[in-house]
Amino acid sequence: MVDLEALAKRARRAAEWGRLRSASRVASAVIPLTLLSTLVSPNRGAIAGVGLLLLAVTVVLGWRNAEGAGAARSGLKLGSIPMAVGLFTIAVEGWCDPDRTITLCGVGCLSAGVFAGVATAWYAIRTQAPGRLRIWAQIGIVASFTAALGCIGLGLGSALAVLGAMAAGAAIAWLPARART
Amino acid sequence: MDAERRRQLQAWMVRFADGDRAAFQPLFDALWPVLLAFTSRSLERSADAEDTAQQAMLKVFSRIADFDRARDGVGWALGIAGYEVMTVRKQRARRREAGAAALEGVAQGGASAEESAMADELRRTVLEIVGELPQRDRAALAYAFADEQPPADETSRKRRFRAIERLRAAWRRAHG
Repeated sequence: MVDLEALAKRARRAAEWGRLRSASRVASAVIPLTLLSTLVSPNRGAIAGVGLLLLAVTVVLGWRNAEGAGAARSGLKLGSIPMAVGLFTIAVEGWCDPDRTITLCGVGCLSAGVFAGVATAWYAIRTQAPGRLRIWAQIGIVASFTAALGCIGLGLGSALAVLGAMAAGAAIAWLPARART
Repeated sequence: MDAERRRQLQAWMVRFADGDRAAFQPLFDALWPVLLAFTSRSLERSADAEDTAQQAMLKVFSRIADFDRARDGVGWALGIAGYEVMTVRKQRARRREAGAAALEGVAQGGASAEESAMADELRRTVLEIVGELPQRDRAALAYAFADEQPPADETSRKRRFRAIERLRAAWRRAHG
């Protein structure tokens, strides 16, 4: 005779481990992004820290539910835009004139941040799910950490400026879109 | 299983796969009898059927996060259970082979005079039946009585297979 109570406990545990295993696959995106940032950027310790944080956040989101897993994927995609621009700026440092207050590279980074922020809001609004604000926040957090991987090498001030641009872009896109829907 | 029950099970499976932990118990309660009925039909021994259904349940739940919501949940779960049934059958077949090999070892190594006489008698009876088979089948089975390695090519293997089938049929005719 099967002890169904014990079997249910084992099944529940197996399901949680399965969710964790499935969520951990996000590491195949986060680790290469972190390694790439470490190679290009001088601030390796900070990048490793941000990379670990990003990995933890994406795994936890994926483990919690499918909505979180989707938000983590979207956040990684969107955050990689300002990250790529940030890394490009660091790689071609010579092109940017450090004596000017607003450099072409700085404008590029901020523009990428605003674009990623707007896209974050658009992704969340498009879902039509009841918890859109929560989805927006989840995508925003993951996108911010991903962007920080590329931008932290520009210095803390620049990284915060890019993240601020993302938040501003997201808010600007969110408010009118929310009013319409 | 009626359509309504199947639809309900699908709904619970999708909810649990999406992360709704509250859907676990109703899904578990609905899925267990389905998998147990399937394994009971596929395996004769009830203990084996229960063990296999348990294994299938654990596999289904461990893979729930990867469940494709567009697929039929019951079909997906039964597919996993079917694989488990196949594994049990293979294990049984291997056990039978190992048992037969062990028996052969006993017969060759530590047989008493009586066992040896019985083995000789059995061998003689088999040889008599083999003698009644067509020449081609006798040639295909000759390696077994000469303690030789059988040829590995495909044609020989097929001939051997057919010869064994005919030997079985002849044995059944002679000894039931």
